[in-house]
Amino acid sequence: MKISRRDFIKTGAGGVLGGVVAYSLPSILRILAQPGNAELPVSAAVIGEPQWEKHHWGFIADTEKCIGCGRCVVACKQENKVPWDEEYNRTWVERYVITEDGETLVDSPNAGRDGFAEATKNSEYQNLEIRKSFFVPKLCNQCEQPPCVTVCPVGATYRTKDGVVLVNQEHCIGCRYCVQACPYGARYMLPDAAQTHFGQVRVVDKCTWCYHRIQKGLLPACVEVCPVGARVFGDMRDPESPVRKILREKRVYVLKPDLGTEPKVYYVGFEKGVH
Amino acid sequence: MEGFVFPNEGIIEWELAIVIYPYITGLVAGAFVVSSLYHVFGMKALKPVARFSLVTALAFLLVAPMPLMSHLGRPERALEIFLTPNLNSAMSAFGYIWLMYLLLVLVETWLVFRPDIVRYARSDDGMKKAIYSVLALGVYDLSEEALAVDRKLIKVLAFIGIPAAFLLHGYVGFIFGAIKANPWWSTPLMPIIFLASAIVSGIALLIVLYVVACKIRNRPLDYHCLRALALWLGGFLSFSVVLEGLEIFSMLYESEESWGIISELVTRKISASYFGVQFVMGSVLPLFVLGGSEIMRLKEPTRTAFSCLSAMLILIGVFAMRWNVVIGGQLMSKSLRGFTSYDPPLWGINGIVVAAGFVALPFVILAIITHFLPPWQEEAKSPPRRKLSF
Amino acid sequence: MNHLVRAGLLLSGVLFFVFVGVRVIPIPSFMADFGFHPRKTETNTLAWANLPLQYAQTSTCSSCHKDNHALWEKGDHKTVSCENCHGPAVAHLETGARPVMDTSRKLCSTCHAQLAARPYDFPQVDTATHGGQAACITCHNPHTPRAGMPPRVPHDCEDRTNCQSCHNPHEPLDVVPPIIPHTVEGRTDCLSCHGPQGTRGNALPRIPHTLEGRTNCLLCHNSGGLKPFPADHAGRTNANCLTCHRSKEG
Repeated sequence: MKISRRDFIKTGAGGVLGGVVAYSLPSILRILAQPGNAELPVSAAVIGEPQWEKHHWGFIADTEKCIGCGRCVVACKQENKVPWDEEYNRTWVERYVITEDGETLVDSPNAGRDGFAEATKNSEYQNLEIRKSFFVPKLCNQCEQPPCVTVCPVGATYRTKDGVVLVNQEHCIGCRYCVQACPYGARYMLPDAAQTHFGQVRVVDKCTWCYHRIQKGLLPACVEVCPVGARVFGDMRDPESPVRKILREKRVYVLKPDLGTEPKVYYVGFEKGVH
Repeated sequence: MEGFVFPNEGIIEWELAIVIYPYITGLVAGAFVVSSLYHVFGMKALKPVARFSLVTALAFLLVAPMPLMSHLGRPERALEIFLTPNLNSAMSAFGYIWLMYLLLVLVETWLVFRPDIVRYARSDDGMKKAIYSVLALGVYDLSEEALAVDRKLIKVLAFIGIPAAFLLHGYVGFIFGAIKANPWWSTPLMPIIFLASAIVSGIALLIVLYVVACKIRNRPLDYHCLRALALWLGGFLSFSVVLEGLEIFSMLYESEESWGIISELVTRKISASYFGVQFVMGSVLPLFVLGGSEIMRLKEPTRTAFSCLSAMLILIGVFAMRWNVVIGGQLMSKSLRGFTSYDPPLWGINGIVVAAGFVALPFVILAIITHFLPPWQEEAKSPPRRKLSF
Repeated sequence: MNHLVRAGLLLSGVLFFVFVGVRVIPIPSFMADFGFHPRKTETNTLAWANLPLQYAQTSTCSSCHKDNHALWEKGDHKTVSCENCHGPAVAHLETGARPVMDTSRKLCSTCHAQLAARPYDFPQVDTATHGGQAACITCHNPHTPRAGMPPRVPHDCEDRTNCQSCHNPHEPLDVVPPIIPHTVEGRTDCLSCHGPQGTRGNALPRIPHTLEGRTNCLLCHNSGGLKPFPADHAGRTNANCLTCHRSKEG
């Protein structure tokens, strides 16, 4: 059989065109069937016209103030429907104990969810000669150069214009490359039993700095419930925001600065050995 | 669990399937390199396994993405990796590289076997005729002119195939090597280490498969070919051992902050699979056996027995290497303060049984392919024995 | 070369089927919504922005609960938001469901149990001994936890133990450290009541006399008795007194 080049191109072009039409058919049908923004969940305060470019959020975590009550962990889990088990956390609290020998011990019983008052380590720590001890709240750093976004093979995780890293859970394929790439352990895959707002399971979830709250002018849930002001949230574009104020007054540090991720959670009262 | 790990690290995210995946792609790359050594570089000694190595690469290549797919949280979205790729991601290239490589191997295999296919399709057995007519894709031209075009194309494809094989497996190494969050993975040596061990494992696999296939078919072994394979194996193995040793040695010598946890990882948590299986059993011992049998000028078939034994040890050693990288890297916490633990379950999608199935599947596919397209070329007389040199 | 064209066409056809046909047919339509990255992120950002709230904020609570808010905003718990203890409030706003309040010692001790890692100036108590095992709210009003307690020592005591060397009741008023505004009556352990913040929270008044074996406190201190207990102690029994008030014997 002989096929001329002309025929070849004609057949090929026809095939490609057919493919494009077939490929977009479901989307077209969908648009015809549901005009408007039907995919947005109904909420009391719907953000109609977001002004993403006007904000750039920042976060302060004060290790000199944190008392390790773990109420932030509880609030986060309830606000964001994070699974209650200890392996799934958008935020958690670590306790550092540095002995006079220079040894550093760290624990985070149930991710700090139940506080540290009854932690089993308390009695072990009793017999140590403690040089100093403090709590470190942890959450997603919403890096300016997020390695998790770089590695996502399908672009399901992305940075918003106001600087928050989100996951499109309806797009995420669950490869968990981003979990591996996050130097801070801030990501996890939702288990089969998870009942989250988007109703997706076996996809990756992470801290959003309570994106739905900050867009409505509220504080993230962990900041709202912190009793001692160890968590401070604000707009870095606003010179009067509490974050800007603390950044003016205090010397701050970020976690693992050597990795070049440019975290936006600034730590007050930093100590060597906190990763 | 030991020491402190970040709360979210309590679960090992990349499990046994992700150990299997680089193992299988490695075998593909290695097998393809052997076939190219014949088709491109004219290593005549390798002719008995040239076509066989090509179909071996094809069989393993078909299985390569399966463990990955099965391990996705949402396998039904797997095609998104082709359709909405984030080209910044080391992983998004997987689909394209794999597909390109699959096409390349498929086309090359078809071209290599085309004369056979046409011959079978012209036979009178009805069933057989039907099958091979489909495989012939309507092309029955076996004129010397057409075959010359085929041969040229095979050479070109085999030539492109080498960098493609390097790309396929080098990029697997890059997936791990590019993760700066994990000090056990993050080294630019990683792609080269993966590549070297891939070629080693592919050649080792071919030695074992060739010996087993000859035993099954009750045909004499081509010792000349086996010796060539053993020499290539030894060469690539020494390169691979040096690279792997260099990696751990430079980590030890530089002794960065992460060395504390890495030294505990290799000396305590994975010491058996790292020093025991990967280094001693899977690298040093085969190297001595291969080198020894060459130096002591062992007689056949003792030499073949030793090569075969080395090859099997290497196959186990390379699997251990994949395990040590993939699982070892996740055992240690990114807090650099502790270890989590991992015991693969027996059952379930991420269990040992399914993983064993993924490893066994390419052999089944290979058996089917070789049944329909026998790659053996016994009619070709092996060239006279002469001294080999690299 | 011609013999390969047909094969090439067939291969393209198969590829076309795999990549377009297979995707369109068995993959549900919601999957077909994605273009090339990152075209559609704004839809998703908006979806995140519009998720429902669980926690309101303290100003929402205070618009109705004015009494407790008035107490709270003057007390030592004014930095603790309502929902920290009472739990998320949006369900209460929407359905009127009453949040279940945890009134156990456990809830208070999540913040106030003594831990080495807590800042030294944060009020902490030894939960094993403080106030016996009585519920914290027996003595402390959670909205204003130090109401009715003697004032705290406003400075760090360091290692000083003799408070009266500076705060002498007999010195004239113009001496710099403030004089003690009440009679000393032989008491020397000022810190038993005036705990410096963080080192000692047990600041309840001691019983100013020896007990000498007496156990029925209410004999004298019942309302209408010789020296009646404060009005907010109504309903307490003899069994409670010694959990908070230590006698002169120790």
